[in-house]
Amino acid sequence: MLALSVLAAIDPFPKRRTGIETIQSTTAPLAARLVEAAGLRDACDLDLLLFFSRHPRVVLTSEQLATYVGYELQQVARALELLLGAGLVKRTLNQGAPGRMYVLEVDHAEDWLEPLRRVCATPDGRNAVKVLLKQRQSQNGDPSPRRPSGARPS
Amino acid sequence: MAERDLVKTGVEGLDDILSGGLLRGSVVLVEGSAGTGKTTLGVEFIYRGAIEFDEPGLIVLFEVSPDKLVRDAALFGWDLPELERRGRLKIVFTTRQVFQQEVQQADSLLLDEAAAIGARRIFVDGLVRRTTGDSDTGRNTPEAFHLLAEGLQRERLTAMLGVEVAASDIRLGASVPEEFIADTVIQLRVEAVERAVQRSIEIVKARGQDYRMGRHSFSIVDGKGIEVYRRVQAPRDRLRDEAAAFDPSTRVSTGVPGLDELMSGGLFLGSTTLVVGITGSGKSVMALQYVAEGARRGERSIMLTLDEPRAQVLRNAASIGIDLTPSIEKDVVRLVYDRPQEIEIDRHFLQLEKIVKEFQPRRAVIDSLSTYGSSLGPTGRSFRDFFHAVVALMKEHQVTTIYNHENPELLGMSSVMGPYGVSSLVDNVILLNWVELADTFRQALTIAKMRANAFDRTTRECEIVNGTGMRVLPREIPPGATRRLAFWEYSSLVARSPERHAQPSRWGDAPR
Repeated sequence: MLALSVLAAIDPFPKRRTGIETIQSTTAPLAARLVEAAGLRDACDLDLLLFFSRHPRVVLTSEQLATYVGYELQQVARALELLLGAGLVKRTLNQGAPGRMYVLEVDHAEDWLEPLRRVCATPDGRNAVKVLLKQRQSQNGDPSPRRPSGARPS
Repeated sequence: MAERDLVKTGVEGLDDILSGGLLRGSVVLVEGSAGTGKTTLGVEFIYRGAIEFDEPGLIVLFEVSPDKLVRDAALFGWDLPELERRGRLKIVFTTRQVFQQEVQQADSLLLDEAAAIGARRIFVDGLVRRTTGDSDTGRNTPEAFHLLAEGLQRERLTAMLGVEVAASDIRLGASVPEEFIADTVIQLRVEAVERAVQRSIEIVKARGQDYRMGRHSFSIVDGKGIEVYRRVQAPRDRLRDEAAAFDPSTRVSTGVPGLDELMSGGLFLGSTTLVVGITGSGKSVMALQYVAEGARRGERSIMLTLDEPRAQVLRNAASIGIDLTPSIEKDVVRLVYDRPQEIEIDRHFLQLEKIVKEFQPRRAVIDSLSTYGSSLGPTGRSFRDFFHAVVALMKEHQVTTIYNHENPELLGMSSVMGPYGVSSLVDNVILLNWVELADTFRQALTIAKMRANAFDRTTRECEIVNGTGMRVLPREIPPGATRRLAFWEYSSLVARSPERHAQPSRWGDAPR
């Protein structure tokens, strides 16, 4: 597991020089640490996590959630399982209603979630993280989900 | 009669026009087109409830993402995340469809969330008003809205529902079924005034409670939130008129040498005096001397000016030997300057009202009515209503007030106020004129009206001298003083056709 003190020492906004390569070369080390800490596998994991960080308490149907995040229902369900399993998101069901409540449990992610949000706050930063996730996917195949740093066992 | 359970919104000025607040458990529609301030009003309602009235709240959003709402609220100094951490607030993002279904459920997740923090208030942002011709989807029907209202009422939540309405619908005043179901309907508008815009708020319905009708102004103020300003012409307390009791014994000196004598000793306490003249005829000088005289006597004075910023007023005062700074420092004199461009008259009047109530001046100068007139326009009722309100305010507090008004006529005067016909409201009228005699413009002062008081109706010469200010000259020029004729030797000075008498008139024009 990554030492979180290392994250704190990294400037999440390195000075931009020229081109996307520069952004990636300077952001990548931080992005790699954050992705590792968050236990993210692919872009859908990332975007679902970012959606919940912008909307920490939502009541939506599964279909609506998938539409908001912009992925297929199955992809979102898989990403959701990761976040639920890691204790990052709590889900409440109501048998009588189609909506489900999802609440982000930030206590388990306060060390890395905010730096991750800041990195992904720019298109370049978000792309850098996605590129990294793709590289990891192609290197490792489709890894089984890791438990994010600081997350509770599900 | 049982005391009503009112929920104060905490929004500055809004509870005043709601006669104290909203009835607990009310369903309040806040209608307006995009950018009218619905979200700000709703969020402030929840924020003030949690902070000031120990009433936790729930915010339900359909369109704005919660992190943007949190960011925007921070501009007003509202720390919503802190309220969430303290369990005083929950922000829920959902869809209209889910919300409708949720609220109708007896075991609703949303209402469980509200109950978990003991919520007493809810703000739902982004409902869509059903307009005539909409297809009936089953979601936005009046029945669905009725069920929503029932669900909220079951939880005894005081609910504000932000409803997006086309500006054209608001203009047309088209009612929709939701308005009949809701307990209170508040409309927010952004209205064009010439090339500027003004925000207005109107309570169009408030079931079971009194409220101030009409369109009131409001502003969205950085670092603070919404400020509602009751419209100037809204009826005030009945006591206001009764308080304007006429005191026939107390006189207030003008501070202009020679002028009090023409008025049997000065202005009546609490009276309203209009000083009319073209620019440069001495209105502001007279006003400064009036304020300085008050300061000399230890009487509090305010000078409200739209024409000249504070530094310019101080400089002008210094040029006639008046140093207002020590009186300002001692808080005997207050200079209040407001920029005349795009003046929001309701806000402006409210500020004046606050100053008068708090400072309790004995004297006031408004410089000038003509600038208000040009800001508000001579047509319509805005100017007249404003002037009525100021006169009533000053009389209620027994403030002896001078209103300067610029008359556009260079020589003489054919009408006191031109298109701004409010001179009937004032007690006293003083005319300042230039009269051209031989090759010289000379300054003339005439008291044209003084209600319930004997006064000297002769036109008198006056002069303004650097370092000393204005004084009214004796009717007879002292022998050897200057080689000129006194005013009494002419007729028709103010009528712009001065003519020297061939000999003293048989009507006894010569000073006795």
